[in-house]
Amino acid sequence: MISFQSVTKSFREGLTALIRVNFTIEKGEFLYLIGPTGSGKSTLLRLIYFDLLPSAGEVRVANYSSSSIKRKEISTLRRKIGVIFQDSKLLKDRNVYENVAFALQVIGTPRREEAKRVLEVLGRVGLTQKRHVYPYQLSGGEQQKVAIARALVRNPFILLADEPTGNLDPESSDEILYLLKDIHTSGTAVVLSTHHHELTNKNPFRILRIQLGVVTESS
Amino acid sequence: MSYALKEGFRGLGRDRLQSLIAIGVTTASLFIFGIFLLVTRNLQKFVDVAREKVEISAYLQEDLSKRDLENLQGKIKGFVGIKEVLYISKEDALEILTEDLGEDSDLLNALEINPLPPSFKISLHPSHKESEEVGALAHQIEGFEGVVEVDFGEEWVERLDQWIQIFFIVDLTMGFLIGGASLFVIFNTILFTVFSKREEIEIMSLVGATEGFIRRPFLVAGSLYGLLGGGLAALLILGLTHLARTRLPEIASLEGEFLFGIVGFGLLLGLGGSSLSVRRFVKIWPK
Repeated sequence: MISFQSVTKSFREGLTALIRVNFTIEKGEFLYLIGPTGSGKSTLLRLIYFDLLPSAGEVRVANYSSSSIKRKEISTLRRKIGVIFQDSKLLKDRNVYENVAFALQVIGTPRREEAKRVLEVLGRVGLTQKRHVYPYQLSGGEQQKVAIARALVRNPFILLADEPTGNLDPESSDEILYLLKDIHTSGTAVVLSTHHHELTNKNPFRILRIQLGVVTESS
Repeated sequence: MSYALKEGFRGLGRDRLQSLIAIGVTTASLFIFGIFLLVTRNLQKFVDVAREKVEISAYLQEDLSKRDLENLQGKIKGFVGIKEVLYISKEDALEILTEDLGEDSDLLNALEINPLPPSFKISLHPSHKESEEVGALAHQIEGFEGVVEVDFGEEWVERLDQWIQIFFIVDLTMGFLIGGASLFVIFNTILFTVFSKREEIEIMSLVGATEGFIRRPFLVAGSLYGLLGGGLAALLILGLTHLARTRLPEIASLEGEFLFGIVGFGLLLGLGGSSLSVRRFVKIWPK
């Protein structure tokens, strides 16, 4: 489903974030990406949703290749990938419902279908009652749940979570992890990037370790 | 498209100060441009009136026979652009001068002989009154046997044409300068809006909105700045002309197509400025 073949990513400033990275992610897989801050985790995730292109090597996602993807195909591919970040990146002037619906509006989903899918996904993350509430009225954990709902509402085949528990207390972190595990159980692949190694103890899944741009498989 | 329109209009209300500045600068710029057009239009009208009076006077030898006169008249009539060739005899010339002098015509009584030569008064069709054409025609007539001198107010006609050309160049330069200034302001206003909405743009890009979809609301906002600026400028010019005509009724106003042209120019500037801005700063292509 996703493959990195000898991928190197360097930036103009001379920094090399990833060095000859090789790995694959299969359909419906759960994968931890573990590494300290600045090790290249975010760069690797950005290469998956084609926010970056490799300097060398090839990234293949679904049927798209980094060496041949076209401008229009980038939008099409991103509709199939869910991404969440440490900061939930919610729109402050829109309530919970509108934040989630926004992801459907920008791809031209009809109103009736939009309402059905937004309410369904809000139910899944347990925020139906708070659909009219604004982000500033929510806890950090709840804001992250809205971000997850926004990522899920388009039924992605993979969810990329970039340090989603970084700003959360242990209790909220557990809730988010439980939610991600549930998403994986329902068939969506999940890549969870974190610098908290202890998270891997709670759910024993495949682990990729990343250190100074070098990726190694770990059990 | 409805999303783009809705967001475009929302942008106008949300970033009120920036919107007002952009619309204000566009209005002021196009108003100044319109004033220059108005001045040129009036100068053109003045020149048209003056050109109506352009005619060639060909002064003749006094000893030409009736047959020579008829031959000469026929040859002049043969040129393209000649409307009428009227013969003015020595006596007619004196009579005209007496009429022109009015009360001062007594002065002519002191003359023992009539010093005025016979002449042809040659009037031209309006489409053949450009100074170069009149000059060329006069030069050819001057070459005919029996013609002593030709006069067509050469300097006056040339000067008018030069003024028109100068004003035309000034209009064009003003158009470029004003267009550039408006383009710059709208470019920066849209840039500011793009910056203030960068989180929204990032999310849109992340969830799979196309580049066109993300850019369209900004293009709508830019076009609205230009359209409103152009519209206001056209209204101001209309109002100003109306006011001026209450004192100087002979002032020519800008025709409808000119006013629509100003609105269209505004729209073009708005669309161009916003287009340049979003092309530069709203991209989904990977880095």
